[in-house]
Amino acid sequence: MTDRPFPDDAQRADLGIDAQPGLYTGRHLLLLSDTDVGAALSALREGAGVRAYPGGASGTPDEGSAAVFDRLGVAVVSADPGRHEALLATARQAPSILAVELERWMFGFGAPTAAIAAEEGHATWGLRATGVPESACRAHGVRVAVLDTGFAPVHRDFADRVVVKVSFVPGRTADDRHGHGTHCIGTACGPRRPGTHPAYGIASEAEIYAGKVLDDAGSGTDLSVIAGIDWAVGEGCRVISLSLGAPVRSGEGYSRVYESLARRARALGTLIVAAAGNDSGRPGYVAPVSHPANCPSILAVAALAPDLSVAGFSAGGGTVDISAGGGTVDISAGGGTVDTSAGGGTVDLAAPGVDVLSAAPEPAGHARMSGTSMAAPHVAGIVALLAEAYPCASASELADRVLGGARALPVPSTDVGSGLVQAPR
Amino acid sequence: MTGPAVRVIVAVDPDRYADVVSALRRAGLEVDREWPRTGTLAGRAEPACVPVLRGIDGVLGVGAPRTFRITPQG
Repeated sequence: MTDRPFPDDAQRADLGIDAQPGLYTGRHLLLLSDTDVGAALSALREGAGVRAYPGGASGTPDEGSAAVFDRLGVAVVSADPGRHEALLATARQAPSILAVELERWMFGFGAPTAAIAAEEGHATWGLRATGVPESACRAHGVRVAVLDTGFAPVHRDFADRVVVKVSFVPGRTADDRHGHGTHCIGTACGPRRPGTHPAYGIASEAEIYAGKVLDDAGSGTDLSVIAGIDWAVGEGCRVISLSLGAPVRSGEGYSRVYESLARRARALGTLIVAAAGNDSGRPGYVAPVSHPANCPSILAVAALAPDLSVAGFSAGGGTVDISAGGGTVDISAGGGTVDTSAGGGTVDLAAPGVDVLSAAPEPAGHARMSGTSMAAPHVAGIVALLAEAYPCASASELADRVLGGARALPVPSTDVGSGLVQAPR
Repeated sequence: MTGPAVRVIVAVDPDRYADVVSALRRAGLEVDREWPRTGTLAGRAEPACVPVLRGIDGVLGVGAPRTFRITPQG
Protein backbone atom coordinates (compact mmCIF):
# COMPACT_ATOMS: atom_id res chain seq x y z
CA MET A 1 0.00 0.00 0.00
CA THR A 2 1.43 3.34 -0.98
CA ASP A 3 0.46 6.68 0.47
CA ARG A 4 -1.68 7.30 -2.58
CA PRO A 5 -5.12 5.82 -2.05
CA PHE A 6 -6.26 6.39 -5.58
CA PRO A 7 -4.25 5.15 -8.55
CA ASP A 8 -2.96 7.44 -11.24
CA ASP A 9 -4.68 5.64 -14.06
CA ALA A 10 -8.15 6.27 -12.74
CA GLN A 11 -8.84 8.93 -15.31
CA ARG A 12 -7.66 6.72 -18.13
CA ALA A 13 -10.03 3.98 -17.05
CA ASP A 14 -12.77 6.52 -16.77
CA LEU A 15 -12.41 7.25 -20.46
CA GLY A 16 -14.12 3.94 -21.05
CA ILE A 17 -17.46 5.67 -20.48
CA ASP A 18 -17.76 6.75 -24.05
CA ALA A 19 -16.99 3.29 -25.33
CA GLN A 20 -20.06 1.86 -23.67
CA PRO A 21 -22.85 4.35 -24.04
CA GLY A 22 -26.02 3.50 -22.24
CA LEU A 23 -24.47 1.40 -19.50
CA TYR A 24 -23.96 4.31 -17.15
CA THR A 25 -26.26 6.84 -15.62
CA GLY A 26 -23.72 9.66 -15.85
CA ARG A 27 -23.44 9.83 -12.07
CA HIS A 28 -20.47 8.72 -9.99
CA LEU A 29 -20.37 6.27 -7.11
CA LEU A 30 -17.87 7.10 -4.41
CA LEU A 31 -16.71 4.65 -1.80
CA LEU A 32 -15.94 6.57 1.37
CA SER A 33 -13.89 5.55 4.35
CA ASP A 34 -16.26 4.03 6.89
CA THR A 35 -14.49 5.88 9.67
CA ASP A 36 -14.10 9.23 8.00
CA VAL A 37 -17.19 10.06 6.01
CA GLY A 38 -17.13 13.64 7.30
CA ALA A 39 -13.63 14.23 5.96
CA ALA A 40 -14.63 12.82 2.59
CA LEU A 41 -17.61 15.15 2.34
CA SER A 42 -15.47 18.12 3.32
CA ALA A 43 -12.99 17.23 0.61
CA LEU A 44 -15.76 16.96 -1.95
CA ARG A 45 -17.17 20.33 -0.95
CA GLU A 46 -13.82 22.12 -0.96
CA GLY A 47 -12.22 20.32 -3.91
CA ALA A 48 -15.13 19.90 -6.28
CA GLY A 49 -17.88 22.13 -4.91
CA VAL A 50 -20.14 19.17 -4.28
CA ARG A 51 -22.92 19.56 -1.74
CA ALA A 52 -24.00 16.58 0.34
CA TYR A 53 -27.40 15.53 1.57
CA PRO A 54 -28.74 12.34 3.19
CA GLY A 55 -29.15 9.55 0.69
CA GLY A 56 -32.38 8.34 2.21
CA ALA A 57 -34.25 11.25 0.67
CA SER A 58 -36.26 10.57 -2.44
CA GLY A 59 -35.21 11.63 -5.88
CA THR A 60 -31.83 11.78 -7.57
CA PRO A 61 -29.02 14.23 -6.83
CA ASP A 62 -28.95 17.49 -8.77
CA GLU A 63 -25.78 18.46 -10.59
CA GLY A 64 -23.09 19.31 -8.08
CA SER A 65 -24.67 17.40 -5.22
CA ALA A 66 -24.11 14.06 -3.52
CA ALA A 67 -26.61 11.67 -1.98
CA VAL A 68 -24.72 10.18 0.96
CA PHE A 69 -25.43 6.80 2.51
CA ASP A 70 -23.54 7.03 5.79
CA ARG A 71 -24.11 3.47 6.92
CA LEU A 72 -22.87 2.08 3.65
CA GLY A 73 -20.01 4.52 3.19
CA VAL A 74 -21.27 5.36 -0.28
CA ALA A 75 -22.09 8.61 -2.03
CA VAL A 76 -23.82 9.05 -5.38
CA VAL A 77 -22.54 12.22 -7.03
CA SER A 78 -24.01 14.03 -9.98
CA ALA A 79 -21.26 15.97 -11.72
CA ASP A 80 -21.40 17.52 -15.19
CA PRO A 81 -18.34 17.30 -17.47
CA GLY A 82 -17.04 20.58 -16.14
CA ARG A 83 -16.94 19.24 -12.62
CA HIS A 84 -15.75 15.75 -13.59
CA GLU A 85 -12.02 16.53 -13.54
CA ALA A 86 -12.22 18.29 -10.19
CA LEU A 87 -14.09 15.33 -8.75
CA LEU A 88 -11.45 12.84 -9.88
CA ALA A 89 -8.63 15.07 -8.68
CA THR A 90 -10.28 15.39 -5.28
CA ALA A 91 -10.74 11.64 -5.06
CA ARG A 92 -7.08 11.04 -5.84
CA GLN A 93 -5.93 13.41 -3.14
CA ALA A 94 -8.36 12.62 -0.32
CA PRO A 95 -7.44 9.52 1.69
CA SER A 96 -11.02 9.32 2.93
CA ILE A 97 -12.30 8.68 -0.61
CA LEU A 98 -11.38 5.11 -1.39
CA ALA A 99 -12.68 4.71 -4.91
CA VAL A 100 -14.77 6.22 -7.66
CA GLU A 101 -16.78 4.37 -10.24
CA LEU A 102 -19.48 5.22 -12.66
CA GLU A 103 -23.00 4.43 -11.61
CA ARG A 104 -24.55 2.05 -14.04
CA TRP A 105 -27.98 1.10 -15.18
CA MET A 106 -28.86 -2.49 -14.41
CA PHE A 107 -31.48 -2.84 -17.09
CA GLY A 108 -31.25 -3.50 -20.77
CA PHE A 109 -28.09 -5.58 -20.86
CA GLY A 110 -28.61 -8.00 -23.70
CA ALA A 111 -31.80 -9.40 -25.02
CA PRO A 112 -34.34 -10.52 -22.47
CA THR A 113 -35.31 -14.16 -22.56
CA ALA A 114 -38.76 -13.79 -21.16
CA ALA A 115 -39.83 -16.98 -22.87
CA ILE A 116 -38.09 -18.96 -20.16
CA ALA A 117 -40.49 -17.73 -17.53
CA ALA A 118 -43.52 -17.47 -19.75
CA GLU A 119 -44.82 -20.74 -18.47
CA GLU A 120 -43.69 -23.43 -16.09
CA GLY A 121 -45.49 -26.34 -17.66
CA HIS A 122 -43.28 -29.32 -16.96
CA ALA A 123 -40.41 -27.70 -15.06
CA THR A 124 -39.71 -24.48 -13.22
CA TRP A 125 -38.07 -21.65 -15.08
CA GLY A 126 -34.96 -22.23 -13.03
CA LEU A 127 -34.60 -25.85 -14.07
CA ARG A 128 -35.22 -24.97 -17.69
CA ALA A 129 -32.72 -22.11 -17.67
CA THR A 130 -30.05 -24.40 -16.27
CA GLY A 131 -30.70 -27.30 -18.64
CA VAL A 132 -31.76 -29.71 -15.91
CA PRO A 133 -34.66 -31.35 -17.80
CA GLU A 134 -32.26 -32.36 -20.58
CA SER A 135 -29.70 -33.85 -18.19
CA ALA A 136 -29.49 -37.63 -17.92
CA CYS A 137 -27.87 -37.32 -14.51
CA ARG A 138 -29.95 -37.63 -11.30
CA ALA A 139 -27.10 -37.67 -8.73
CA HIS A 140 -27.95 -41.27 -7.88
CA GLY A 141 -26.41 -42.10 -4.51
CA VAL A 142 -24.58 -38.78 -4.26
CA ARG A 143 -24.78 -37.23 -0.80
CA VAL A 144 -25.84 -33.59 -0.72
CA ALA A 145 -25.88 -31.49 2.44
CA VAL A 146 -28.07 -28.46 2.87
CA LEU A 147 -27.28 -26.57 6.06
CA ASP A 148 -30.20 -24.33 6.84
CA THR A 149 -33.37 -24.32 8.95
CA GLY A 150 -33.80 -28.09 8.62
CA PHE A 151 -36.37 -30.02 6.65
CA ALA A 152 -40.11 -30.45 6.88
CA PRO A 153 -41.22 -33.28 9.20
CA VAL A 154 -43.05 -34.88 6.29
CA HIS A 155 -43.50 -33.92 2.67
CA ARG A 156 -45.54 -35.54 -0.04
CA ASP A 157 -42.79 -35.22 -2.65
CA PHE A 158 -40.07 -36.84 -0.53
CA ALA A 159 -41.87 -39.91 0.81
CA ASP A 160 -39.50 -42.33 -0.88
CA ARG A 161 -36.28 -40.39 -0.38
CA VAL A 162 -33.34 -40.93 1.94
CA VAL A 163 -33.29 -37.88 4.22
CA VAL A 164 -30.80 -37.75 7.08
CA LYS A 165 -31.68 -34.95 9.49
CA VAL A 166 -29.47 -33.62 12.27
CA SER A 167 -29.89 -30.49 14.33
CA PHE A 168 -26.94 -28.39 15.40
CA VAL A 169 -29.17 -25.83 17.07
CA PRO A 170 -29.31 -26.46 20.82
CA GLY A 171 -32.72 -27.54 22.05
CA ARG A 172 -34.24 -27.91 18.60
CA THR A 173 -35.00 -30.89 16.40
CA ALA A 174 -34.05 -30.77 12.74
CA ASP A 175 -37.65 -30.09 11.75
CA ASP A 176 -38.05 -26.99 9.64
CA ARG A 177 -40.59 -24.63 11.20
CA HIS A 178 -39.46 -21.76 9.01
CA GLY A 179 -39.67 -23.05 5.45
CA HIS A 180 -36.38 -21.72 4.11
CA GLY A 181 -34.45 -24.96 4.51
CA THR A 182 -37.21 -27.05 2.97
CA HIS A 183 -37.30 -24.71 -0.03
CA CYS A 184 -33.54 -24.94 -0.53
CA ILE A 185 -33.57 -28.73 -0.23
CA GLY A 186 -36.43 -28.87 -2.71
CA THR A 187 -34.39 -27.04 -5.34
CA ALA A 188 -31.15 -28.92 -4.76
CA CYS A 189 -32.61 -32.40 -4.31
CA GLY A 190 -36.35 -32.37 -5.01
CA PRO A 191 -38.17 -34.52 -7.50
CA ARG A 192 -38.12 -34.14 -11.26
CA ARG A 193 -41.72 -35.39 -11.39
CA PRO A 194 -43.60 -34.11 -8.35
CA GLY A 195 -47.06 -34.68 -9.76
CA THR A 196 -49.34 -31.70 -9.71
CA HIS A 197 -46.56 -29.10 -9.82
CA PRO A 198 -43.78 -28.43 -12.29
CA ALA A 199 -40.57 -30.32 -11.65
CA TYR A 200 -38.50 -28.20 -9.29
CA GLY A 201 -35.69 -30.46 -8.05
CA ILE A 202 -32.27 -31.07 -9.56
CA ALA A 203 -30.40 -33.89 -7.80
CA SER A 204 -33.55 -35.97 -7.69
CA GLU A 205 -31.88 -39.23 -6.66
CA ALA A 206 -29.37 -37.79 -4.21
CA GLU A 207 -29.24 -38.76 -0.57
CA ILE A 208 -30.30 -35.69 1.38
CA TYR A 209 -28.37 -34.55 4.44
CA ALA A 210 -30.39 -31.83 6.10
CA GLY A 211 -28.44 -30.07 8.82
CA LYS A 212 -30.32 -27.58 10.93
CA VAL A 213 -27.85 -24.80 11.68
CA LEU A 214 -30.33 -21.92 11.72
CA ASP A 215 -33.12 -21.63 14.24
CA ASP A 216 -36.77 -21.27 13.34
CA ALA A 217 -36.34 -17.52 13.04
CA GLY A 218 -33.58 -18.02 10.47
CA SER A 219 -30.57 -17.10 12.62
CA GLY A 220 -27.56 -19.14 13.60
CA THR A 221 -24.04 -18.99 14.91
CA ASP A 222 -20.60 -20.00 13.75
CA LEU A 223 -20.63 -22.91 16.16
CA SER A 224 -23.67 -24.42 14.49
CA VAL A 225 -22.48 -23.76 10.96
CA ILE A 226 -18.97 -25.12 11.54
CA ALA A 227 -20.41 -28.16 13.28
CA GLY A 228 -22.73 -28.70 10.34
CA ILE A 229 -19.93 -28.42 7.80
CA ASP A 230 -17.77 -30.81 9.78
CA TRP A 231 -20.67 -33.28 9.95
CA ALA A 232 -21.39 -33.10 6.25
CA VAL A 233 -17.73 -33.60 5.39
CA GLY A 234 -17.58 -36.58 7.74
CA GLU A 235 -20.67 -38.10 6.12
CA GLY A 236 -19.02 -37.97 2.73
CA CYS A 237 -21.27 -35.35 1.19
CA ARG A 238 -19.87 -34.20 -2.14
CA VAL A 239 -21.40 -30.78 -1.88
CA ILE A 240 -22.67 -28.50 0.88
CA SER A 241 -25.19 -25.79 0.11
CA LEU A 242 -25.16 -22.74 2.37
CA SER A 243 -28.02 -20.31 1.87
CA LEU A 244 -26.92 -18.17 4.77
CA GLY A 245 -24.47 -15.42 5.43
CA ALA A 246 -23.37 -12.44 7.38
CA PRO A 247 -22.85 -9.06 5.72
CA VAL A 248 -19.30 -7.74 5.49
CA ARG A 249 -18.07 -4.17 5.40
CA SER A 250 -16.22 -2.94 2.38
CA GLY A 251 -12.56 -3.76 2.84
CA GLU A 252 -13.19 -6.30 5.58
CA GLY A 253 -11.83 -9.24 3.61
CA TYR A 254 -12.72 -12.88 4.00
CA SER A 255 -12.52 -15.12 7.05
CA ARG A 256 -9.26 -17.03 7.23
CA VAL A 257 -10.97 -19.56 9.44
CA TYR A 258 -13.68 -20.35 6.90
CA GLU A 259 -11.21 -20.33 4.04
CA SER A 260 -9.13 -22.91 5.88
CA LEU A 261 -12.28 -24.88 6.61
CA ALA A 262 -13.35 -24.81 2.97
CA ARG A 263 -9.92 -25.90 1.78
CA ARG A 264 -9.92 -28.77 4.22
CA ALA A 265 -13.40 -29.75 3.10
CA ARG A 266 -12.21 -29.78 -0.51
CA ALA A 267 -9.22 -31.90 0.42
CA LEU A 268 -11.63 -34.39 1.96
CA GLY A 269 -13.87 -34.39 -1.13
CA THR A 270 -16.55 -31.82 -0.29
CA LEU A 271 -17.24 -28.64 -2.22
CA ILE A 272 -19.00 -25.77 -0.45
CA VAL A 273 -21.43 -23.53 -2.33
CA ALA A 274 -22.88 -20.40 -0.72
CA ALA A 275 -25.33 -17.62 -1.45
CA ALA A 276 -23.56 -14.39 -2.43
CA GLY A 277 -25.90 -12.27 -0.33
CA ASN A 278 -29.01 -10.16 -0.74
CA ASP A 279 -27.89 -6.76 0.48
CA SER A 280 -27.62 -4.90 -2.81
CA GLY A 281 -30.03 -2.18 -3.78
CA ARG A 282 -29.40 -1.95 -7.49
CA PRO A 283 -28.80 0.11 -9.44
CA GLY A 284 -27.59 2.48 -6.73
CA TYR A 285 -25.64 0.11 -4.54
CA VAL A 286 -23.98 -3.25 -5.08
CA ALA A 287 -23.16 -4.90 -1.76
CA PRO A 288 -19.96 -6.90 -1.35
CA VAL A 289 -20.26 -10.67 -1.33
CA SER A 290 -21.26 -11.86 2.14
CA HIS A 291 -19.39 -14.06 4.57
CA PRO A 292 -18.68 -16.94 4.06
CA ALA A 293 -19.38 -16.86 0.32
CA ASN A 294 -16.55 -14.35 -0.05
CA CYS A 295 -13.95 -17.01 0.75
CA PRO A 296 -11.95 -17.96 -2.36
CA SER A 297 -12.49 -21.70 -1.84
CA ILE A 298 -16.27 -21.36 -1.51
CA LEU A 299 -18.33 -20.90 -4.66
CA ALA A 300 -20.33 -17.68 -4.35
CA VAL A 301 -23.62 -17.71 -6.23
CA ALA A 302 -25.48 -14.65 -7.48
CA ALA A 303 -29.19 -14.56 -8.28
CA LEU A 304 -30.83 -14.06 -11.67
CA ALA A 305 -34.37 -13.05 -12.59
CA PRO A 306 -36.35 -15.00 -15.18
CA ASP A 307 -35.16 -12.64 -17.95
CA LEU A 308 -31.61 -13.53 -16.85
CA SER A 309 -30.89 -10.04 -15.58
CA VAL A 310 -29.10 -9.75 -12.27
CA ALA A 311 -31.55 -9.63 -9.36
CA GLY A 312 -31.66 -6.21 -7.74
CA PHE A 313 -30.72 -7.60 -4.35
CA SER A 314 -27.85 -9.80 -5.52
CA ALA A 315 -24.41 -9.01 -4.12
CA GLY A 316 -21.53 -8.37 -6.50
CA GLY A 317 -17.81 -8.75 -6.59
CA GLY A 318 -15.35 -5.91 -6.30
CA THR A 319 -13.35 -4.28 -9.03
CA VAL A 320 -10.89 -2.35 -6.90
CA ASP A 321 -8.36 -3.77 -4.48
CA ILE A 322 -7.01 -0.81 -2.60
CA SER A 323 -6.00 -2.60 0.55
CA ALA A 324 -3.55 -4.77 -1.36
CA GLY A 325 -1.95 -1.73 -2.94
CA GLY A 326 -1.41 -1.03 -6.59
CA GLY A 327 -4.96 -1.79 -7.64
CA THR A 328 -6.55 -0.16 -10.62
CA VAL A 329 -9.94 1.38 -10.91
CA ASP A 330 -11.68 -0.82 -13.43
CA ILE A 331 -14.52 1.37 -14.49
CA SER A 332 -14.74 -0.32 -17.86
CA ALA A 333 -15.89 -3.50 -16.15
CA GLY A 334 -18.90 -1.65 -14.83
CA GLY A 335 -18.71 -3.26 -11.44
CA GLY A 336 -20.89 -0.90 -9.46
CA THR A 337 -19.82 0.12 -6.00
CA VAL A 338 -16.74 -1.71 -4.90
CA ASP A 339 -15.72 -4.30 -2.41
CA THR A 340 -12.14 -3.57 -1.48
CA SER A 341 -11.41 -6.84 0.25
CA ALA A 342 -7.96 -8.18 -0.42
CA GLY A 343 -8.65 -11.36 -2.34
CA GLY A 344 -11.88 -13.32 -2.33
CA GLY A 345 -15.12 -11.47 -2.51
CA THR A 346 -15.90 -12.40 -6.07
CA VAL A 347 -19.04 -13.92 -7.50
CA ASP A 348 -18.26 -17.29 -9.07
CA LEU A 349 -21.54 -18.26 -10.70
CA ALA A 350 -25.10 -17.16 -11.16
CA ALA A 351 -28.30 -19.16 -10.91
CA PRO A 352 -32.06 -18.62 -10.81
CA GLY A 353 -33.01 -16.71 -7.68
CA VAL A 354 -36.22 -14.81 -8.35
CA ASP A 355 -39.71 -16.26 -8.11
CA VAL A 356 -38.40 -19.77 -7.55
CA LEU A 357 -40.97 -22.50 -6.99
CA SER A 358 -39.91 -25.27 -4.61
CA ALA A 359 -40.97 -27.32 -1.62
CA ALA A 360 -42.55 -25.89 1.53
CA PRO A 361 -43.62 -27.52 4.78
CA GLU A 362 -47.05 -29.11 4.66
CA PRO A 363 -49.88 -28.40 4.38
CA ALA A 364 -48.92 -25.83 1.73
CA GLY A 365 -46.35 -28.18 0.22
CA HIS A 366 -44.97 -25.66 -2.28
CA ALA A 367 -44.03 -21.98 -2.33
CA ARG A 368 -42.22 -19.35 -4.34
CA MET A 369 -39.28 -17.49 -2.85
CA SER A 370 -36.57 -15.13 -4.07
CA GLY A 371 -33.00 -14.56 -2.98
CA THR A 372 -29.47 -15.73 -3.56
CA SER A 373 -30.59 -18.35 -1.04
CA MET A 374 -32.57 -19.87 -3.89
CA ALA A 375 -29.70 -19.58 -6.37
CA ALA A 376 -27.11 -21.47 -4.30
CA PRO A 377 -29.06 -24.75 -4.19
CA HIS A 378 -29.40 -24.68 -7.97
CA VAL A 379 -25.60 -24.79 -8.14
CA ALA A 380 -25.33 -27.37 -5.37
CA GLY A 381 -27.77 -29.65 -7.16
CA ILE A 382 -25.85 -29.35 -10.41
CA VAL A 383 -22.56 -30.07 -8.63
CA ALA A 384 -24.23 -33.26 -7.40
CA LEU A 385 -25.17 -34.16 -10.98
CA LEU A 386 -21.54 -33.62 -11.95
CA ALA A 387 -20.45 -35.84 -9.07
CA GLU A 388 -22.52 -38.63 -10.59
CA ALA A 389 -21.13 -37.97 -14.05
CA TYR A 390 -17.54 -37.79 -12.77
CA PRO A 391 -17.47 -40.01 -9.69
CA CYS A 392 -13.69 -39.87 -9.33
CA ALA A 393 -13.48 -36.09 -9.60
CA SER A 394 -12.04 -34.23 -6.65
CA ALA A 395 -13.98 -31.37 -5.11
CA SER A 396 -11.81 -28.84 -6.88
CA GLU A 397 -12.31 -30.68 -10.17
CA LEU A 398 -16.05 -30.48 -9.63
CA ALA A 399 -15.65 -26.76 -9.02
CA ASP A 400 -13.70 -26.39 -12.25
CA ARG A 401 -16.33 -28.33 -14.17
CA VAL A 402 -19.28 -26.37 -12.84
CA LEU A 403 -17.50 -23.10 -13.54
CA GLY A 404 -16.32 -24.21 -16.96
CA GLY A 405 -19.76 -25.40 -17.98
CA ALA A 406 -21.52 -22.13 -17.15
CA ARG A 407 -23.25 -20.18 -19.87
CA ALA A 408 -21.76 -16.74 -20.38
CA LEU A 409 -24.14 -13.84 -19.89
CA PRO A 410 -23.97 -10.34 -21.38
CA VAL A 411 -23.42 -8.70 -18.00
CA PRO A 412 -20.24 -7.95 -16.06
CA SER A 413 -18.50 -10.95 -14.55
CA THR A 414 -18.34 -9.07 -11.26
CA ASP A 415 -22.08 -9.72 -11.03
CA VAL A 416 -22.36 -13.25 -12.39
CA GLY A 417 -18.86 -14.76 -12.40
CA SER A 418 -18.58 -17.42 -15.08
CA GLY A 419 -22.27 -17.05 -15.88
CA LEU A 420 -25.43 -19.10 -15.60
CA VAL A 421 -24.79 -22.57 -14.18
CA GLN A 422 -25.63 -25.42 -16.54
CA ALA A 423 -26.39 -29.06 -15.85
CA PRO A 424 -24.30 -31.76 -17.56
CA ARG A 425 -26.07 -33.43 -20.46
CA MET B 1 -8.31 -17.51 33.33
CA THR B 2 -8.36 -13.92 34.52
CA GLY B 3 -10.05 -10.96 32.94
CA PRO B 4 -12.94 -10.93 30.50
CA ALA B 5 -12.52 -13.48 27.77
CA VAL B 6 -13.54 -13.10 24.15
CA ARG B 7 -14.94 -15.92 22.10
CA VAL B 8 -12.87 -17.01 19.14
CA ILE B 9 -12.95 -19.56 16.36
CA VAL B 10 -9.63 -20.94 15.23
CA ALA B 11 -8.45 -22.82 12.16
CA VAL B 12 -5.35 -24.95 12.49
CA ASP B 13 -3.35 -27.26 10.26
CA PRO B 14 -5.36 -30.51 10.44
CA ASP B 15 -2.24 -32.56 9.89
CA ARG B 16 -0.71 -31.19 13.11
CA TYR B 17 -3.95 -30.75 14.97
CA ALA B 18 -3.04 -32.15 18.40
CA ASP B 19 0.29 -30.35 18.65
CA VAL B 20 -1.13 -27.02 17.56
CA VAL B 21 -4.09 -27.26 19.94
CA SER B 22 -1.69 -28.02 22.78
CA ALA B 23 0.25 -24.89 21.91
CA LEU B 24 -2.98 -22.89 21.79
CA ARG B 25 -3.95 -24.11 25.25
CA ARG B 26 -0.54 -23.22 26.63
CA ALA B 27 -0.94 -19.75 25.16
CA GLY B 28 -4.20 -19.20 27.01
CA LEU B 29 -6.98 -20.59 24.84
CA GLU B 30 -9.77 -22.34 26.71
CA VAL B 31 -11.20 -24.78 24.20
CA ASP B 32 -14.96 -25.25 24.16
CA ARG B 33 -15.56 -27.21 20.94
CA GLU B 34 -13.28 -29.10 18.59
CA TRP B 35 -13.65 -30.40 15.05
CA PRO B 36 -10.32 -32.14 14.38
CA ARG B 37 -11.44 -33.49 11.01
CA THR B 38 -11.71 -30.03 9.55
CA GLY B 39 -9.05 -28.45 11.76
CA THR B 40 -11.41 -26.07 13.50
CA LEU B 41 -12.11 -25.24 17.14
CA ALA B 42 -13.96 -22.71 19.23
CA GLY B 43 -13.00 -21.30 22.57
CA ARG B 44 -12.28 -18.30 24.73
CA ALA B 45 -9.21 -16.24 25.43
CA GLU B 46 -8.24 -12.96 26.98
CA PRO B 47 -8.07 -10.24 24.34
CA ALA B 48 -4.34 -9.81 24.92
CA CYS B 49 -3.82 -13.46 24.05
CA VAL B 50 -5.40 -13.27 20.62
CA PRO B 51 -2.33 -11.90 18.78
CA VAL B 52 -0.27 -14.61 20.47
CA LEU B 53 -2.68 -17.29 19.27
CA ARG B 54 -2.46 -15.94 15.73
CA GLY B 55 1.32 -16.20 15.83
CA ILE B 56 1.48 -19.87 16.78
CA ASP B 57 2.97 -22.08 14.11
CA GLY B 58 0.20 -24.14 12.52
CA VAL B 59 -2.56 -21.65 13.28
CA LEU B 60 -4.22 -20.70 10.00
CA GLY B 61 -6.71 -18.17 11.28
CA VAL B 62 -8.32 -16.73 14.39
CA GLY B 63 -11.62 -14.92 14.13
CA ALA B 64 -14.55 -13.70 16.15
CA PRO B 65 -17.72 -15.81 15.93
CA ARG B 66 -20.49 -14.26 13.88
CA THR B 67 -24.20 -14.60 13.69
CA PHE B 68 -25.71 -15.80 10.44
CA ARG B 69 -29.07 -15.10 9.00
CA ILE B 70 -31.16 -15.83 5.99
CA THR B 71 -32.56 -13.01 3.96
CA PRO B 72 -35.21 -14.25 1.59
CA GLN B 73 -36.58 -11.57 -0.65
CA GLY B 74 -40.14 -12.67 -0.71
